[in-house]
Amino acid sequence: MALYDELVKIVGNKYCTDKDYICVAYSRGIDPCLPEITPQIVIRPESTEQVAEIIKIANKYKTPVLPRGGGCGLMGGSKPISEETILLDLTRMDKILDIDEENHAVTVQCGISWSRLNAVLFDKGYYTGNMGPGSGLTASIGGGLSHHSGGGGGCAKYGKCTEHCIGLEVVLGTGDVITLGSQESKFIDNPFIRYGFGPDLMGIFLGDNGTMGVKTEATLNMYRKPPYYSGKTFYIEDGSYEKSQQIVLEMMRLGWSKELGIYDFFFYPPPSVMGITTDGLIESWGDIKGGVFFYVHEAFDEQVLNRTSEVLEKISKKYSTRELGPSPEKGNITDWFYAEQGHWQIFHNLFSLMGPDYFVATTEFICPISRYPEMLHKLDKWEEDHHEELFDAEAESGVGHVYMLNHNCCYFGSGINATTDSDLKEDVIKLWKEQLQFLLKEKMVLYMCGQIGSHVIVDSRAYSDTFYNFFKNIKNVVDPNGIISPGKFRF
Amino acid sequence: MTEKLKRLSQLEERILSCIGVGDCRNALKGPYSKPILELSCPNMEHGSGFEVNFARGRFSLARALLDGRIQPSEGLAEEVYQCTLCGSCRQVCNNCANPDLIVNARENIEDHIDIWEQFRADLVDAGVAPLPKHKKMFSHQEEEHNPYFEKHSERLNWIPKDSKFLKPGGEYLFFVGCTSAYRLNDISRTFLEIADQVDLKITMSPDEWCCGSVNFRTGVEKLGNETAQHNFEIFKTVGIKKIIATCAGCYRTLKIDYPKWLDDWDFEVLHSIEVIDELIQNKKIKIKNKIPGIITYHDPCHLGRHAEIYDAPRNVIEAIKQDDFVEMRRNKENAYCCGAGGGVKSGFPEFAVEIAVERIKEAEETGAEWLTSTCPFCLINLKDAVKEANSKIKVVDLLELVKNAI
Repeated sequence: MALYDELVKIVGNKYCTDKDYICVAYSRGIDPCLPEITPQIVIRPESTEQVAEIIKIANKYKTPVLPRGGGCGLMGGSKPISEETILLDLTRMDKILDIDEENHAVTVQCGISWSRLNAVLFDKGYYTGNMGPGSGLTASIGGGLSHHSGGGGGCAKYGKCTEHCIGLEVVLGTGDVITLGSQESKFIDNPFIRYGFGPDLMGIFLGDNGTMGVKTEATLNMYRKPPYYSGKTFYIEDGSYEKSQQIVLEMMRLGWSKELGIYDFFFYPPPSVMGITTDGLIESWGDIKGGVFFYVHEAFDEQVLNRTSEVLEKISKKYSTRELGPSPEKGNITDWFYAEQGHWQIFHNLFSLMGPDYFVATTEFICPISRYPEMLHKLDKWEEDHHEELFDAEAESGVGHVYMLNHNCCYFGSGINATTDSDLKEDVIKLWKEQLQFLLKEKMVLYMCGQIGSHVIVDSRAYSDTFYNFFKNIKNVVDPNGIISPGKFRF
Repeated sequence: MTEKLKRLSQLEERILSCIGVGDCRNALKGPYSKPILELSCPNMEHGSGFEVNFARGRFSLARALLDGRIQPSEGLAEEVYQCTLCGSCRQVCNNCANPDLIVNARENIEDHIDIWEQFRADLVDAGVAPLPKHKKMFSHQEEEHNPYFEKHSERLNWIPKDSKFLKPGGEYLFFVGCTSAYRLNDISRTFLEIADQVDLKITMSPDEWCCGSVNFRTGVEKLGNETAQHNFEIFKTVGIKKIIATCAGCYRTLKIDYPKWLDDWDFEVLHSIEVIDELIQNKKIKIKNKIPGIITYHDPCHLGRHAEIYDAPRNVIEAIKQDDFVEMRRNKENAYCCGAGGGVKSGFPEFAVEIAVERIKEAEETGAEWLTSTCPFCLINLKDAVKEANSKIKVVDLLELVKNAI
């Protein structure tokens, strides 16, 4: 029996195909710059058992397998690197398996999207805290956990989504299924904590960019959603990099999310604001040209919210030029962001601005708070230094937004807006790699690596030889034939 | 290749505007307080669920055709024709809930439905579409001017030959439509009874043909255009300026498609429920017997998302209800499709009913006794689904409830 026939036997004809007109739609993620390669087979399993069988068959034929969740990868992570790939479309595995209200934990199949999971949790008064990546309306839990994702809401309070994973089931490259977290003990039925029973081996599979196995089930902490929230938007005309950092540091000194209930804090640098206002994305911002920041904070008690609102407002007013708002009509976007699911839409609107001729070659990274204004200046300088190459490639470089994490870091939404002109793709990819290399050398952390980022990390020799060998050795243990996401990290 | 795919070539900028975020797979928007975050695309949910079964994948497919990476084929057409053209993807793609945030993908892509229809028209030109079932249906339509395999001469058999509505004159032309003529003609009779009671000056033409909706939706533009041209000539001959349709599909076609195809189109097109709403507001229709039992309402895609008529049916229900009117959780612009549109009912009848069963279950959740709508084509599919699901809910056209109330 041939590979295709054996796979069909597992899921049936309806959910397995080698038709070019179906497979071709899996040749892209969100970036249309890296080569579009059509997988030879696409298969949609519905259970862990089916995934395990598929991996065993793939091993038999030594055929690469690419796990794919929502297909929202910005760096080539969710599309094949080679044509012989079996693409594992995991979106059929979208069941909520258990909501444990006593222990505040929810167990799901990893193909469910962040939005669908949270829609169910909202009804019960809960949420996942970190709401996944900015593409959480369609991005899957598995995808988020594979990339230490954030941006879909709640990062200032809850950090990265991987911080809330307390149970994980993974199909290894051998087809073996393992459970991690408290369920490492066969005596424990319901996951409730990540740590214990020795080393934290779950970490091997979190942020792995889909290379160490196929995530099939996950248990996440879920949190009571506070009934009260408030948010403000402010404009800083001059010196917004330093001033916004001062605001963050001052809020941190007063307790940040723990004491002030800060849920999200976003900063839009002046070039980004200019892009938004020039294109009329947010009409009520008029033609302001400085930086803009907004925060949302939550509380279980209205009086507490009012008190923390005063504190946050006082700090913000000290450093800002003026408030945009307070109403949405006057430019306060926080109601939309928090209450109308703007947190899952804010990036998409920016992507959509690109129109038919441009796309985002993202270089998102994590930066310590202490170096945040410095990195904004350095990226401005990088753009100046590469002005000619950018011009020739019909590209622009910049930082769309910076949003805070829960302790001492922030995510940078940086990258290159590039033309989709196929003749210029190579030039764009070269610039893309250069900026990623620059960030590595500036001691920044790339968290969402995909194809291009993981190559740059390895090619730049950012890993020490000892670490990279260790990493490869672990990969060899969990995936001895190297069939899961081959090519990433130069595996 | 691009010469063969001339429409897609012309739409290339719009097609490339799909960045691929994929919200069209999963989500409808709604506030935290009452989130509507469920699968919005019936094709995605009830089909095999591959990327090509929702908008993002279909855009990728169009790109691949334009790039010459794949060729048109009957298999490809089968995937493309599973879409009901409900427009939910267009709704989701407009991912700004805040009116202050006005630039978005929707403006770049403009109208998804238009792209899907032109995609199909290119597949027809390429000789791989429409589906075999559609071809058979259209062969009949060319002869008898309806897709129901009925005779044109029997189109108005449900009305007495000497009916006053068949006489010339009147202010409005009642465009009956095929479903209301051949399958659910109670709806037509009911409308005429109501119109008669309030002395609405109505006339009808036995020469009307199918509106052509199914042709335009399936990309068979030539037949659609011939049909439109014929009906246009009939409308001019009748000598009226206002046309009323009880069918949401006919309404959408006359209101939105005909002006695109007919240069001198100058008719006001109304859905019967708009007329009834106005008559109730103006107290020309008096409600005497309020309808007992909980009522819910299914927004037909052609009347709702396509034509943005949401208030008129709700105003009418408010006027006639004795008990509660309870909305389904997906309603108005976020309403779930019944599954019949876009040629799906004729091309994939079981698939259409499977989708409708989901809508019936959603209607049952409201506790309603009456599931009402304003499209006979939706009603046919919903009635089929009631049988399939063994449901007790009563599926009726809203006009029938109005008739009982006055």
